[in-house]
Amino acid sequence: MPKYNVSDFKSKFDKELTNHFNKNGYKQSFVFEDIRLLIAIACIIPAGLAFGIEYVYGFGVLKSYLKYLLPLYFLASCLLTFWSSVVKGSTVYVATKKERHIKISADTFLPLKNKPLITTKFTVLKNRNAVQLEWSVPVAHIFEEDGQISSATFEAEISKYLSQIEN
Amino acid sequence: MNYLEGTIDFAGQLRCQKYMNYGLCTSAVISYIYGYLVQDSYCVIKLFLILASLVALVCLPAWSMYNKNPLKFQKKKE
Repeated sequence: MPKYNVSDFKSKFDKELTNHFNKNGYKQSFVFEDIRLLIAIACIIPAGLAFGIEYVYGFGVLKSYLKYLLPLYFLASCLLTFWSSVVKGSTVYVATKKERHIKISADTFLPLKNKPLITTKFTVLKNRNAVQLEWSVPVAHIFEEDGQISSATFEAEISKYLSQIEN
Repeated sequence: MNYLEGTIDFAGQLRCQKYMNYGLCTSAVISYIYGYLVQDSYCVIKLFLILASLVALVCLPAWSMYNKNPLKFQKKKE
């Protein structure tokens, strides 16, 4: 694996973060992905209809339907972009722990810098109180020479923050 | 082979990004001005391709100047 690959580091970190919370009794929610899939299907429907009408009846018939299908497709595409970039944004993990009434979401950022830091912003909703926590860790501290994440260091670092979340 | 492998450190990536951005913008401006002076749009394309190739020569291989700030990653644990 090539070293110094920001996107690769981020995806490995996100995967480790997800595994860590799942192992600690959190139930992951895929609500953002599910809604994105529904909106994507809503995009495909008018496009598929247009294709079908043209295939069966020809472009002459399709022209009269295009004024309805095009705005529908445009709206669904805009909604998909809005959902992916604004609502979902950089959120990589959403989960709940029912017995403790905790809901967390985690956003991770890894901008390209000389000595980059991976920053994770946790939003913790506990007993209707939202708390924001930020955890930054240097890439060189958490990754090994061959580009793999050091699980032991990751566990040690994140455990401090888990205690803040749950207590 | 290391030159073609393309592994450069983070500081090198930032530097390379800067060279590419400035290099391509400057190439475009120089080509446009040259094409305007000789009144030939074909010259704009030719000069831009030549200058862009020079920028590629600077940016694409993993020159040693892009590997001057290696990070000290953790030692691999067995």
